[in-house]
Formats: sequence, structure tokens, C-alpha cells
Amino acid sequence: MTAAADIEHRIADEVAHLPGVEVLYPADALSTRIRVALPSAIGSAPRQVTASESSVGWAVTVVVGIDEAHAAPDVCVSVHQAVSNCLREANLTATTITIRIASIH
Amino acid sequence: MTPDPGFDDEFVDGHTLDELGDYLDRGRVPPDPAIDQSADCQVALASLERLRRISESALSLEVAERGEVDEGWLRGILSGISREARAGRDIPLPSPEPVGVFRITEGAVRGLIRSAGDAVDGLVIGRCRLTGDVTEPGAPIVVDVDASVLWGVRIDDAADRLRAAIARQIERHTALVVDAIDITVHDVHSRRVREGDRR
Repeated sequence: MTAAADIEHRIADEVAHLPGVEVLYPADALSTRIRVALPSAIGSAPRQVTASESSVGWAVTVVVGIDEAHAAPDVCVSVHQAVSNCLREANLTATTITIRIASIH
Repeated sequence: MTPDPGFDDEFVDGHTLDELGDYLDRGRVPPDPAIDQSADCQVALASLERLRRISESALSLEVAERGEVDEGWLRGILSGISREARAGRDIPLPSPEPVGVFRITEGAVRGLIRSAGDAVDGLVIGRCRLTGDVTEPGAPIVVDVDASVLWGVRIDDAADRLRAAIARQIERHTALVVDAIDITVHDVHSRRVREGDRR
């Protein structure tokens, strides 16, 4: 079994290595930078992903800040790709992958 | 009564602008993850840095001519920075991915508009607003910007350059349909001194 928090950390590492991208804490919506959860479990405490759940669609939200030199829509595609790869490695599928750009500097 | 950091205009994600200014003064050392990883604080820090760059020349001119600083002008801009650093509404971006939901916050776009002001010498953006339903893809919106200029800057030229810079940034980073970019120049610094000199 894999802890949802482990997947979140893995995604954070991958996304942080993308050029011009920084993982941020959002101020107003979420308590964590990256949230991986079943849609029905969003807001609940991190827990183990069971084998029976691994084939169910998961909801992922990533909040990032980006460098002005990189166009926001292009960054979203890059981050989405990184998240998809992480989920695939963990044998998880996603119902939604939400990329939220909260800062451009 | 203790102000609520979540709602008071003085606070940006729990930090005052003074705290953020001190953090800049220290060169962001030692690193404070609560500031470095806060989206709102990043928007506010970028705005403060821009304001410092422009105000150095504006204030030195004003002090030289008047012997004092127009603190009301600075207070107004600082108030705008803390208010507009907030995330605000989520603005949709087009997504080519079936399960992808892409968003950019209103606060990030306002920061983008402020950074467009960097392209225009002698101009400082005060307040900026996005009027219209930014959450609806394709809905027309209007960008309202208040600005002030330094004495000697041609206002019409500065406004044209700012309008072009804002349009470029919005087109590059968002899918917003901009009907108009309205720029109101509400102050010219050192004007009162110059008028006084003429008397």
C-alpha cells in the first residue's frame, strides 16, 4: 500500500524540478500544497491508499507559482504531465488533475 | 480588538506589509518557508520590490524639492498591494488534457498587470481591478488600472505603453477576452511644487 502523502511528496519533487515552477502553499483554499485524494475524501486526513481504491479515479490539486518567462498555459501542461507520470508509477488513475497558478513573478 | 489576519487589509496571508518589507531588507535571509511558499506573500513581495525601485527615484526627487515625502501616496499604493495580493477568483485556462482543470488566480493576474508597469518608466500602478465575470470562459472583461506618474513623463505616451504591456502579458498568460484596458492617471508627483514655483 502507498500512503497518499507519499504520492503528494513525489509529485511535489517532480513538479519542483520543472523549469520556472515553484510549489506554493495557497492562502485561501487548501491546507496543503498538493492534495491527492478520492473526490469524496478531499478534506480528510492523509491515509493509506488501499488496493481496491487504486483503480478508482483520484482527484489531484497542485498549487504553483511560476516564473514570468514561462507562459502559464504551457506550465499547466508540463505540471499536468509530471503529475500524470507520478500517478501512473503509483498505479493510480485520476478523475481530475487541477493545476492552480497562484503567483507569477 | 485584535485584527483578524484572514480578513484585515493590513495582513497578507498572516503577515503585515512591514514584516514582508523587513524580510526584503534582510535579503530574504534566513529563509522563512511561511513567506516563501505563500502564494499571496509572493505576489505582495514582487509588488513591494517594484514599488521600491520606482519610489527610490520618485521619493528622492520629492525630498529634494519639497523636503518631505507624500506619505499618502505611498500608503495608498501599499494598501492596494495588500488588498490585491489575495488570490481572489479562479480564472479558467484552456486545457488540452481530458482530466486537466487549469486555473490561474485573480491575484496572480493582478500581479502580472503590476509587473507590466515595470515596462513603463516613471509610472506606478496603484489599484487594478478586473471587471466582469472572469470565471466564465470567453466572457468579456475590462481591466481598470489607477496609476500615477512622475513629473515630466508624457501621460498619454505612458498610458499607451502601459496598455500595450498589459495586453501582451494577459494574452501570453491567460485566455481572458479583454474588451478594454482603462487607465486612470490620478496623480503627478511633484506637480504641486512645480505649480507653486510658477506663482
